[in-house]
Amino acid sequence: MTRKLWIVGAATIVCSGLCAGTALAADQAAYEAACKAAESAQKAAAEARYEWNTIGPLMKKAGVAAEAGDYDRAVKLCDEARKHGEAALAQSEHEAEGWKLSVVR
Amino acid sequence: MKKILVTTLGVALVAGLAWATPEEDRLAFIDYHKKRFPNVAVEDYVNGVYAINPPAYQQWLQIEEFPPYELAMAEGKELFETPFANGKTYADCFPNGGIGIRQNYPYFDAETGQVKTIELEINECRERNGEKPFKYSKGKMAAISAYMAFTSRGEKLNVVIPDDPRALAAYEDGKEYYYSKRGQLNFSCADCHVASSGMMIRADMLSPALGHPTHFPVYRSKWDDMGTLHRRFGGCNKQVRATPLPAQSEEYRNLEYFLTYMSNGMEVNGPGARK
Repeated sequence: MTRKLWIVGAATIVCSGLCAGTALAADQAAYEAACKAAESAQKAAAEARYEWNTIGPLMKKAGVAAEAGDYDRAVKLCDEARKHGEAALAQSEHEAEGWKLSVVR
Repeated sequence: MKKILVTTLGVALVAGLAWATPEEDRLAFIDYHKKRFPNVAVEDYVNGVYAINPPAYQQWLQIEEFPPYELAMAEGKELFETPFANGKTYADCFPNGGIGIRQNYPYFDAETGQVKTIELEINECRERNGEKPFKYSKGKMAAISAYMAFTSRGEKLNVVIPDDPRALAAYEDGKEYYYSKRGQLNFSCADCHVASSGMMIRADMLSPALGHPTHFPVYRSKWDDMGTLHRRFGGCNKQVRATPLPAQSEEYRNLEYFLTYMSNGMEVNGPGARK
């Protein structure tokens, strides 16, 4: 019984290590997907005329990281760029009415 | 039912908060500045931040003894008077030969349904006469605009919003842009130049919004160069980490329409010198 438990435990540890390794190591495909999502968010913010000027530089840095083969960093930077795009779009939606509260009366 | 009623009332209240006629907006704008800076005369706001910062005002007076915009103004005069290849000049494109007219800009053009700025019309004039347009933010455009402003010094801003729903819509668009927060820092134009005017942002004092357009284009020490009002709009957008819109975009022209209307009745004193 004890031997069986040891085997199952060891197998679980090895498997989870391998699985985690697979999940963490980003590759070019993951970078391209993250980059595409960021570009889409950037485009939506720009169409609303609310784009932040932080998005372009983040994506540029992501491109440099990807070229150097550091896909983990590239994906992280693209994800951040996407979040900035989404936040800019949310800002445009909020300000569609929110601006009225600041008007000097 | 109760929820719907409360929501409807809330929406109506917020919508109502922003609604006022342009003239009501202007008077409220002046009143706000009077209360914020009770010791500053309204006509002094044409001097921008120097109206509310006495030590900087003294330094500025010394700068004005040898104005840094003088070379650009001389270049602008020469450009203005030099005939195009077809023999015509800028004077042929503008009322009163282009002299002493800055105070009437921007204006709403019923034919195109657009707000026209003086820089836009300078390029329209060039293109009508077979010349290539200038870039809008600096250089020769700023020089000609500076000369035209100089010929209008002392004239009072007289921006008109005609009885045309499109003109009012353009004014309202400009007003919305002015009060909307944007960029990663989530700041509107008004956050800095209305709510925080007179406060320090690092080593610089934030200038008051009233009178802002009277002194453009300006020679700015930071730029070491001349720039138009739209160059400054773009700079402000960048500072709050928003992507600036192109100079003379519809949004910026509408913004100029609103902002200049707020300073109606104040004297043109451009070109100016700023930090």
